[in-house]
Amino acid sequence: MIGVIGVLVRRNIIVIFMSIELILNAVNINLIALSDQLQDLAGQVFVVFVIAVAAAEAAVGLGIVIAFYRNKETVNIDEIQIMRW
Amino acid sequence: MEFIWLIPLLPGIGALVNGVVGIRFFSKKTAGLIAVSTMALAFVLSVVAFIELLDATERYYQVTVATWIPPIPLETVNGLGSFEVPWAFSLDPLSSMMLLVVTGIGFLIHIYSVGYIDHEPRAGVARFFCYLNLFCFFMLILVLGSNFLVMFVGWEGVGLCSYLLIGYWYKKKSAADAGKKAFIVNRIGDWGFILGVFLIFFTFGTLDFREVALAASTMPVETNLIGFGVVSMICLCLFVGAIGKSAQIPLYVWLPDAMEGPTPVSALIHAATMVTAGVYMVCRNAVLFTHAPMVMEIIAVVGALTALTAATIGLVQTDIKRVLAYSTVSQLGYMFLATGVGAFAAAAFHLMTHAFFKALLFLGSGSVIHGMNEEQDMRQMGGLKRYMPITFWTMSIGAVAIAGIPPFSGFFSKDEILYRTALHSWPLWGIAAITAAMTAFYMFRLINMTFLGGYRGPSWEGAANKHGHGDDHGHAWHGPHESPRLMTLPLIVLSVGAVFAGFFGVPAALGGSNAIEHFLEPSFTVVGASHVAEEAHHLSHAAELGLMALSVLIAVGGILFAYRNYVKQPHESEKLAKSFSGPHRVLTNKYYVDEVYDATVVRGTMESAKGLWTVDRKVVDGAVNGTGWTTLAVSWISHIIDKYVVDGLINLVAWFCGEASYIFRRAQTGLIQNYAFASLFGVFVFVTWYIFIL
Repeated sequence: MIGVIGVLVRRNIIVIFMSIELILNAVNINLIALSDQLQDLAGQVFVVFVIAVAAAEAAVGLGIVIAFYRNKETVNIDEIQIMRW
Repeated sequence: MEFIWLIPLLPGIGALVNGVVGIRFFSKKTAGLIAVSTMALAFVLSVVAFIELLDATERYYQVTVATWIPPIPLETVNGLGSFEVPWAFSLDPLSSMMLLVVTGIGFLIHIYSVGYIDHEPRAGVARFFCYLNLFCFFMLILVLGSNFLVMFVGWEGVGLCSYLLIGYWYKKKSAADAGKKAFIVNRIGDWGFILGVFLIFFTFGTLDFREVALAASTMPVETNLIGFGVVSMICLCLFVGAIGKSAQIPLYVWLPDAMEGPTPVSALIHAATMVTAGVYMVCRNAVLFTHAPMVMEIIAVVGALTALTAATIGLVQTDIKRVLAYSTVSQLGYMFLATGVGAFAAAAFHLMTHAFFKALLFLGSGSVIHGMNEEQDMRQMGGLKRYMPITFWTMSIGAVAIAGIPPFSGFFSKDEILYRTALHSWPLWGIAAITAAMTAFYMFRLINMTFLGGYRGPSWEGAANKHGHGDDHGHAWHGPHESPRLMTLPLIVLSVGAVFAGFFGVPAALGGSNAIEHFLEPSFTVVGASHVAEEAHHLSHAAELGLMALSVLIAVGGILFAYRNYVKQPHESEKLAKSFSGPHRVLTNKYYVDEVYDATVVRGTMESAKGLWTVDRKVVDGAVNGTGWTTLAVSWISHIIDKYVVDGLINLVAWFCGEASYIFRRAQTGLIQNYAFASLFGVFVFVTWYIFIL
């Protein structure tokens, strides 16, 4: 919940990223807890996948942010609106 | 006689060689030699054929060289007929006589031409002999042709060669015009001829002369009682052809203009051979014509009128060749008069004698023109007897012959015609007799003005200095001179012919046997049939002799009158011309026939052509332009429709999409958090939906 609010409220794109990590890790904790509860290994396997995807996502996302910063000299999400109609 | 097809072929080969190779490579001598030798060979063959024909029992021989039109079914009056035309040549007395005339006189004129044409450039000489040989080729095809179509080939061919030779000096506008005139006027006649040929096939189902004559002999003679039937129609059409080719009223106008060609051409084509083709054709179809007495009447009248008209014009012409041209027209009129009164043999006889003395006269005039450095006006001549004696004597023989003084050839043939005309109708005889007097007068006017009296031409010392060596002949003119031997030799031979040719037809009244008439008889009748046109009434020998004496008297009168006016008292003629200035002017202008034709036929054609042009421009072009304009208008309309309706619809759709998109476009803020919020909101909605509604 904290992560979701972070994504919606914060203006700094890096903080938004960190919020997304929070969401993903919250999901991971949920998955592990439930796999322990249900005695099912599939949840833990899934968590490993999620961590791998999150790492890749962070790498690509941070790459985009760096490229963007070089162009616009800002990481403020409100000023990034070139995809607007 | 199997070789008669070779006779036309020989000059044809000569023409081919001279035309294809000669114009490029041959010297003047080679070109002349080839042309003369082919003609000599053809003449020898003709003589051989003639002798063989004399020995044959049935004097008819036909040889088929090749098929031309294979048998094809074609409709005739008698149902379906088979139309077949072979390349067939036939020899009978009439064609053998023509053969001798054409090859013999053609040969002499070829020799003469070698001398005459010597001043022309080398290529021109070869071209000239090519045309001349080609003419002989077609003329012999015309003569020997065994059916109408083969004859028509020759008929058209000689017309073509006539055109080519009249326009030989094609750079001279008057010569080119004269050539065109001859060709176009001939075309009118050819139209009649070909119509006649169509009618013949349609009626008889064949085009062979013999078969046609045989079929025609079984048909009734179309007198007034029976009326103007199909045979009369055929004969009339054929006669139109003969009028065109043989220069009769009203189509004679081309012949005097044809004198623009070289003089040997005038002698060969426009005096001796081609112009007699019409007479020959009528004689060849004698059986057909005797079955159409009304057409015969027309022929006789046309012939007599032509003879008279042309003779009157000839009285006042001053161009030496034009006098002879009108004389030719007049003599051809005589021949038609003869055929018209049924005296085919007399016509053919006169054709032969005329060929001799008219060729002689033309060649003589050519010699004079040659000696006078291309001067043709008789007023510039006079006293030439001193300078060119051979020409003078030979031409005088020709003039005496044409005037009809016994025992020269013209007397016998012309008198035969006069006699037969007298049997037929006295008014026509009157016209013919007056014409005979005029003929004698104008011929001796020509002789007197040219050869006798004082010299009136330009002085040659001055002329020689003025022209120097740079004139168009490359040599100075040293006054009138006799022509080279190559030119005088044919003159002498022809004058011998002009003297003696008449003895083939000495009439019975003078103790002769009229050999030529008996010889030609088979050509004018059908084999086995009785003599069709047996004369019902003969005049007594005394009356015949009286007529002869009268015609001789008339001729002598004409000669003496000419002598008095042009030699004894040269001013008499001018006085005469002044006192009859009106008629004189009319005659000098040739009855204004050319002007009348120009104003009516030529102008009419031009005007109607112009009218048609206007129609073309206004109506046809208008229609075309209208179509174009309509297309333009329609396309403009469709363009408007396209632009406003079709494009409008498309633009409307696009505009609608654009307008509609304004509403939705607001959603695209470009702010990620908005989108994230929207999707989160969606998740809430769906979860709420899932939990509470379902």
